[in-house]
Amino acid sequence: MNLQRISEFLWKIPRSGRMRVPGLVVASKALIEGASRDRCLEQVANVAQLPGIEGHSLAMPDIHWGYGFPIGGVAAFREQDGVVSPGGVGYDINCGVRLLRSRLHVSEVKSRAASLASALERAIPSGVGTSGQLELSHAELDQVMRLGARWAVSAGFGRSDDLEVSEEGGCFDGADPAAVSDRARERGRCQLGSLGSGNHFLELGHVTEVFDQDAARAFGLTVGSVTVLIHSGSRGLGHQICDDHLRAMLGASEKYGIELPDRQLCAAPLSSPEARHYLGAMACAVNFAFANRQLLTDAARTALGKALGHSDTELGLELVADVCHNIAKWETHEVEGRKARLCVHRKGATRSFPKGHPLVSPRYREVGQPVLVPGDMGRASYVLVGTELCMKQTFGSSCHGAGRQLSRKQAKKTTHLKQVLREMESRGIFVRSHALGTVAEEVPDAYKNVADVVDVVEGAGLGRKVVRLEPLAVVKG
Amino acid sequence: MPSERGHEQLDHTADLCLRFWAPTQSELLVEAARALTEVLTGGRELVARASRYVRVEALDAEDRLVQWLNELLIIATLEGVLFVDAELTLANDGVLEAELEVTHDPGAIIVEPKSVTYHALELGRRGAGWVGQVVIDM
Repeated sequence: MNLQRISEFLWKIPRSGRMRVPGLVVASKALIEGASRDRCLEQVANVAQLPGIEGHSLAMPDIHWGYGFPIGGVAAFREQDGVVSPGGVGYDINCGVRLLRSRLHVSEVKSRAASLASALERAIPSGVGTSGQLELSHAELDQVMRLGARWAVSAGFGRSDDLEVSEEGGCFDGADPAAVSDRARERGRCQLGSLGSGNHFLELGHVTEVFDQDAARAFGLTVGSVTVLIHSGSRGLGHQICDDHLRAMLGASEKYGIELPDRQLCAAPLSSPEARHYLGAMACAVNFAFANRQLLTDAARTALGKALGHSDTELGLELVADVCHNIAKWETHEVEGRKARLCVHRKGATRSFPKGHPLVSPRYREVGQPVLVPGDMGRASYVLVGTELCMKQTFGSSCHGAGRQLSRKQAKKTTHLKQVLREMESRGIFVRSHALGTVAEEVPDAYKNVADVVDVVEGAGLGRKVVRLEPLAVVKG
Repeated sequence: MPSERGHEQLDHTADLCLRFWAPTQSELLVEAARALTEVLTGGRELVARASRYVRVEALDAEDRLVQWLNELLIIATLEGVLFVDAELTLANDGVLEAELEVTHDPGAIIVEPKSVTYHALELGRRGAGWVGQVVIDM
């Protein structure tokens, strides 16, 4: 792969072959060397071949090899000649993360972290084959798909404040339940309010360091604050919607003469019925995921209140933010001095808008959007805030996590799980899971150090560090 | 490839790559199904207790491989029904019909992959036999 270093944290993949635009990777020298070991940079170049792509095919510093798009990939497509690609969103549509703060201080919970981990594990449906907290009727599922977290709040799973700080207010416009297959409905109907498996988790943690006092104050985070991070998505409903529409898009790619370097990148022109159909169904999964995280939030609030003997008010578990990691959405960005409407695909990337942007929650408009960056279960996570430069350079996008560095197979092979868990417990971090095999794939060493990733984001000017979090209790899916 | 049929799991950073080989395309699809079931159950021994008919209509042979495996993945994750063996009939137009031997054993499933993808998909003749590859989103 031909790579040109254009600044300390930016690497260009020059146009070649069928690439319509260059690739641009945000990374340090060490991270780019890691990325060069698998096929993720080739995936950046493949995305650059899609019609109507604007500017660059982008990759964030947590880039790693995915399927179709790289994970950590961002691409924006012009309204007039661009495409939408379900592979640019992924199977777990609106997989995302939310952060809650509390009135609790770490000193009140540290000695009870093990029992809180167990209480959360009992309260949060997680792991393989789990049903959620509800079995929805078809009419209720339609409402969930139309209204997202707004449905959950109206059904008693949370409060209206939760919606104000969620991306899109927890409800994505344009949902078309008629574009969702019976099978997708069947897969989703019983799964609302479940964590799922794989890299999904719920983590009780605390703030260990504040970097930006003003932003931290706006987000309600101070050193010692106990927090909850929830990482989950649209479960089987989203997986099936992606699957159904990939098949349609394979046909559409042929119909519209779109040459594909990888079938997983199949796509349709944004003006086509196939694109409208996909975007309508995708919005349903986006809303399902918002509602799912809202139910998980409610379950965590109840479980922690009960375990600690605190009322809802004493606990003060308030939502700081909910952000999407896997999504395609219409946004307005400045291109060559003009406003342009673009369909921005983020696959394993986070929207990261600066202060003053009208889409940032009014609560945070003076500081910018919180960008939640979960790390691994043994080290740390970060909250960043969006910047102006991010709007100019990456269509307002930033990293979404640490990014894997070991394959699942390598992680399992090299991990002595009991030893890892013992070592974490000695540092006051307690992990609970129904699937220890999955935990072995998710050990800290399987991931890059998230501190290195956020340092690159900050160094490149795409975000500023606000706080650092450390885990206390982790429920793994 | 140490024998005329078999499968292996290959490294992939975020997901899982399965490679399989067999003397004919039909046998290859059965081998791919075995590889997938091994992922789902961690290699647990399964005994067939029931039969089931499955039909897949795909765009072409590669799409058929993906859709076949996704069909098996869905009946496993949605119903707890696991593939044990199959008799396949393939038509040139992308159609597959299968008489499956299955077992209902949801407790045997230890991982829940999201889907079989079209990324790095391979299906073709290699020497006297057939080889295939899929990447599974874990």
